[in-house]
Amino acid sequence: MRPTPRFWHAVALAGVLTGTGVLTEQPAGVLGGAVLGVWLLTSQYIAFSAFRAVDERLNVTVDPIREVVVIEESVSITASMSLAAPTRSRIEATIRTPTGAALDEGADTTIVLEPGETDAATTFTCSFPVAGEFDYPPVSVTIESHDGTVTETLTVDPDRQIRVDPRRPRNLHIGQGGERVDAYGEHAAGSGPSGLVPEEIRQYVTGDTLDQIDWKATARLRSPHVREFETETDRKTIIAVDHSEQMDLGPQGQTMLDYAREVALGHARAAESFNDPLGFYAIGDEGITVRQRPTSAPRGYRRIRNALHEVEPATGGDHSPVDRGRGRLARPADARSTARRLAGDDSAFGEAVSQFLADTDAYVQRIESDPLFEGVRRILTETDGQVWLVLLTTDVRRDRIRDVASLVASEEGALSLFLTPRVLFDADSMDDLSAAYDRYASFESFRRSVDRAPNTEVYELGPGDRLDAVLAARQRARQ
Amino acid sequence: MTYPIMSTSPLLLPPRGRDVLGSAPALAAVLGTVLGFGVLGTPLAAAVSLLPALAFVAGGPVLAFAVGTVAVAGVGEIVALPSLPAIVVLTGMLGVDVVDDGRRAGMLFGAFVAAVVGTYVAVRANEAGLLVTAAVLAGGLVVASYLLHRYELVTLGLVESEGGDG
Repeated sequence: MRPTPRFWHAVALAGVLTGTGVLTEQPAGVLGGAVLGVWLLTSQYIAFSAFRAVDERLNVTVDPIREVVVIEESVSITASMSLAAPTRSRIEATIRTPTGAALDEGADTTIVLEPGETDAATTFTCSFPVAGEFDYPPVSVTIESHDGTVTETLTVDPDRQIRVDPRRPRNLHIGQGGERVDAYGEHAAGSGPSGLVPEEIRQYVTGDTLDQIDWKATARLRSPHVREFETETDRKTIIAVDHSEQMDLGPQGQTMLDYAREVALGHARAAESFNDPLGFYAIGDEGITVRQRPTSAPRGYRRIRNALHEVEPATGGDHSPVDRGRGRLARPADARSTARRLAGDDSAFGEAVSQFLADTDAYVQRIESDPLFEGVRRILTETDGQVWLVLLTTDVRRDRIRDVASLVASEEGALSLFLTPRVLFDADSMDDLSAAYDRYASFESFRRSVDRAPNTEVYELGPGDRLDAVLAARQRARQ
Repeated sequence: MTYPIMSTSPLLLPPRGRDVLGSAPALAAVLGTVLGFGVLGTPLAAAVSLLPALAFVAGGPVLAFAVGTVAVAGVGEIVALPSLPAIVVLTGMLGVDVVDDGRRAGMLFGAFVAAVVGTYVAVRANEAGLLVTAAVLAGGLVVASYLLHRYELVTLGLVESEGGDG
């Protein structure tokens, strides 16, 4: 029970009356001061009764709209306070957010019940910059007595938790035909070791890392020596991420782009570990939006990682347009040249693609406006030497994907294509697993057809639990 | 009847102003003071009672009681107003703030006042001076207040147990 300034003023008045009565030998003053003290004591008892009633009847709840969110996602929280019966006290509750939570601007975390009221609520939003599980702290409830002489503060534990997940997809599946494969963290098949050859041995100097030390040379020369390398080949790893609007499909934090980002980061880490030259391009609805030319510098790797973390689905209108009409394949003559090269290709892929190249003029016009194709074309134009293209996109425009694969093949590059099948990200696709399997089977057929191209590997990428559900349903249907 | 808390005014409490006319307890307290003073003392004492009555309208029951006490202490002997009964009459003004909290609160207030008056009479009967009397009364009130505070902490579970193992 905490006295307020009004309480102390009354105490002071009682003291003045009593003191004056004593000094002037007036019994009225002493009695008056004592009776005023009795009034304060009675107020204190009335307040105690009210506080006890509030403690028994008060219900405070804190309800977030979701109990699992991702980092930086704004979550709406409704806090309410209710009394079984009205009181003469004023009750104020202050809602505290878990440690580290950032309240959005204008958030009102205070609920007030005026005398006679029984319900009050407030809604505010906050976000969490750090992943983890958080308990909502106890709510601080301050009760003021009806005459404002004393207050009391109670704590009410809302007993609520919230889990904040990192912004990364869960249950990531990379595979072919439903079988998981380890498709990143390695060099592409047939590529050999990293593109480095030993150049010279020199003495160790401060700043050299431990993994540069050549231990044989060190033992032989009896002092630390490092081996320096130079680039053996000019084959460059280029990561190209499609961040067009169609990649923004799926729950927040689990979209196609989130899965693509996770795989792209894995490739970036692998390239850095091998010291491979690494470049990064982001391709949106209007064309190339991010361009990081191949680099082997630590700062360059870091820039690429940061760019991958920052890439968001394109909203249109804010990107630099792709150059048009100046690439090698934009002219009908070049398209016809490509058609002639593929004419001798009897594979299913060659046969499938040649039918498009037969009508070269119309073909050039059709593909010229496709940002993904144009983006890949620009990448191949701008990058000297051999290219290992790691392309992450979705299977929505299958004809363009074939065009891209044939383009890379024609330029004698290596292609690792990661496709996020739309069937695994559509919100209602799991409602009919039979239909979902048919769509997945169609995707798998398409994937295999593109995979047959020379120096091309095509993988499926998406949530493993959904794929497992589709395949399991098919298994059950067969039984 | 509930009144808004004027937490910014240290001693001004409702009902005051026009609210006095609408409050039966307040009207009864004011009229009772006027009548009581008139009965206890000379007719002039009834006129003196107008001071706390006006203070009631201006500032509420606490201010009225304080003004009334000062008036009794100042001019009580002149208008033949005995101190103890006059203060008991004025207590009715403080009771206006208490009566709205129910019969139990009113009875408790009355009991406390009776205890204080009884203690005063008992101490004075032993020929103790006003200083001793004031000290006994103040000490008793402080102890009672502190005990009530501790009881409230225990009842509401606000006491931290020793060793922190709650």
